[in-house]
Amino acid sequence: MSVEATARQPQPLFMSGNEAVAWGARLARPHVIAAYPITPQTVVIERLAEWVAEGKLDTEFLHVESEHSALSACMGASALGARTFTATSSQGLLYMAECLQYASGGRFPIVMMNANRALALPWNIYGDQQDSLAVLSSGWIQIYIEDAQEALDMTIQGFAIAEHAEVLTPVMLNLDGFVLTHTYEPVDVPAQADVDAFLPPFRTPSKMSLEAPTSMGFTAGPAHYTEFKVQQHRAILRAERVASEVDQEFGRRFGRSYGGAVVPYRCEGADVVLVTLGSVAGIVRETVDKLRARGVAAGMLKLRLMRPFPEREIVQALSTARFVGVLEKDVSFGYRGAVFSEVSSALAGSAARPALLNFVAGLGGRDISRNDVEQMFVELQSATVRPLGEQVRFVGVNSNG
Amino acid sequence: MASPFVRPYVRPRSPEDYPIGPCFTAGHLVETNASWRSERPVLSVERCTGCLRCYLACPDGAVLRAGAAVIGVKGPQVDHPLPQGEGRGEGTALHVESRRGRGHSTLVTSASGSVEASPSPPSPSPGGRGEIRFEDLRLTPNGAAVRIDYDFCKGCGICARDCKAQAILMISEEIKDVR
Amino acid sequence: MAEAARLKLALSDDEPFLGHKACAGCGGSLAVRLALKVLGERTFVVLPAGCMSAVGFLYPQLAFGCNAIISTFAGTASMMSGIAAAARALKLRDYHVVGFAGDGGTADIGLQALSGAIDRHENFIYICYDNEAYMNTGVQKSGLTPFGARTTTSPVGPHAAGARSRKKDIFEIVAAHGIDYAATATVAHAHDYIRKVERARTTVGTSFLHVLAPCPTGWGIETSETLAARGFSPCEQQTRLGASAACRMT
Repeated sequence: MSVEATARQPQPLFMSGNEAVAWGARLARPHVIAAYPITPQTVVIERLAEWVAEGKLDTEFLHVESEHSALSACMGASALGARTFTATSSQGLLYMAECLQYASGGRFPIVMMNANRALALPWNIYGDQQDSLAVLSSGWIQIYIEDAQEALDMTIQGFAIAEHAEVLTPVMLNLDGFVLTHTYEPVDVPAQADVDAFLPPFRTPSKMSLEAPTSMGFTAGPAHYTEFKVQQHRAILRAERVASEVDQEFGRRFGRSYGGAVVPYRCEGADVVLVTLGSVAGIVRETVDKLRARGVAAGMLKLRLMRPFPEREIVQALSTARFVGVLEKDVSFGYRGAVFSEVSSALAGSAARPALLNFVAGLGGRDISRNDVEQMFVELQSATVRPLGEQVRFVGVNSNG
Repeated sequence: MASPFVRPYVRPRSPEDYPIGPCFTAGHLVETNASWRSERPVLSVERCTGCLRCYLACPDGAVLRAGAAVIGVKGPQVDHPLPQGEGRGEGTALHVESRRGRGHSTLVTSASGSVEASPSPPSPSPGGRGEIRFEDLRLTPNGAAVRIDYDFCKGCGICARDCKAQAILMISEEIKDVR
Repeated sequence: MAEAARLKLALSDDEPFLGHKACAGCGGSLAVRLALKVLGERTFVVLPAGCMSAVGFLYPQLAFGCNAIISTFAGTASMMSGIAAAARALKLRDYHVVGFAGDGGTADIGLQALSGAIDRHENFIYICYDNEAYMNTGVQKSGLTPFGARTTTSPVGPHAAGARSRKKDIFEIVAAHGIDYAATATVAHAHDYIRKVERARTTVGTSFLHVLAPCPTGWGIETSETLAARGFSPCEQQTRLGASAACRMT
């Protein structure tokens, strides 16, 4: 894909999810990009490098020698008040795991795209959500993206959320590996001037400067550490409101907004609802329509934000459902999928006591078919309130007995 | 000025009163290190050659050049009272009797109290018994090339060990003010 | 005296590293102190987990008067690279980026990041203060612990006597990258070390200083012996093997 100047595009461009993220990052004008290649993220940083070489993107592009160094470099740059961007996936995300907590605790508003990919072992380069869902506690805002247009838009919105004075928390943008990163859609690319007007330069008092020398990243003992962590926790909780405000402002300026932390689809009066996240929402939505046409009161609840976790919105959307399933591409070994555990926890506090089923599918890039999804709704409708010890339903797996 | 100094510090009462993340003004000290030491250096103006080895050797920046601006201002939370007083005045004189040859010098004090025999290097004046005066040289001018910031001296003894002119002795903190 | 007179001009009276909680007699803190006096207050300092960061900023006692930040243990050189990149992007002028990492943080866990940073030809000064073990965590063997040296993870006993591997030649490793400037030094020769920091300061490109910084606590020597103790000679290692606490280096 080659593009001339970033004047307003009269027509949408045909691009992949990765390219959309690259566009979003380019338009956000980061000062520093430090990233390490890993499938299926590579196209993001390749596009950015091309634009740097062509003089279309003015940024300091660091060819770091690992993901740990990528995030360390971003933190160093952020500590000077620079806007930073990086991208990774699975093994790389976990390689930088200590840096995830470091960045969130350090309150560095870095934006990082994560191409959701299966974790070794066994080795597998295809998409599932084990990587990001394994680091929910890292202190990063986690957004799950359904399509390429959203990928571009949320990259821009991501900086606005992260850098907001009441938030100052890093943002992780999750795209399903291959199924979203490498598939192509028409995407509207905003004009640079419009993005500049929406996303002003990053300003923060929390930085090192030659005028006002600062100590950063310091130690805090038992007497003080807790207060820093409470402060961090409250800031990421505020991100839910800020994300909604940013989304509405984005909608006003660009004509597209994404509805906040959760997107209920036909959940009003729904009897059986499937909760899910990421690009699989596309076929779940189609299945809901098909079932509704047959008279089944089906619905879908798409989660866009996993952190901060939108408990209230989830409970509200599921208030009429007698059967709730969670479809996710991960499992917390020894128990259930992470999303299921959290949705169950949210519902424990509500008056509704739906039957709950956890569907784990798509591991290691295994396709989830429309038939699979329809089958989930069928199973849900005959589900009873779970007995303790109910196992995860691994979709499409043949078992004995 | 890039030197840290002690400031008044009141612990923040709630998380909102803390800085945003671990980010705070540089050089913010709340206490000195004086309480660490069990012995401290005292200097002899007569022996000091002004070579500044001690100034370069101190890991804590507690040896200052004469005439340097005072740093490490005492705040209200100094954790250990220093020997009292500034400048010349009342106090105990410490004199060292040097013996011929490679003997050791004995620290003698005119006040009552224990005499510390410090294992110090041989006398620089082989001819005879000289009396060399050692003092707590603090931050006031006194004709020496250096002085000690006793707020931050930990008493490691590197300066005394490293001084080629034997112009520094380490004495016990139990010996009070020495002038 | 002429040497001292010259130094009076080169060194500021500022003490950018003051009030720290390093052990009495700490060689590492002397290495940091002298380097910062040369580099001045327009400096961004990076320190990984280790002695100097542990003693240098424990909120609210923050002993660096210039800009300073703690990096992850492995990430000193990469955090420095990020700072250098941001400084370029923000068009800052007249500043230095310096990192102080220990022997473990340089030659072991930090080696990858250092290699990458030299490869990228970053404009910064990387100073390895070498006390020959992981001192901050309790004197465990590192890649720069000399052969035969006793540490808490290479103790002396009937089956094994001290470290079984040779000290990594970190200077040659760095030099093989084709770095712009690299030097070895010791805090015992302050004039020489200061001269080398000054040279690194004026080098455009990547500089690496490997400075021997004895640790009285870990080496089992008197706090006053820091500048008298020596390290690289095998004879000295024999003396240290099985040495009692009363043993003194001459």
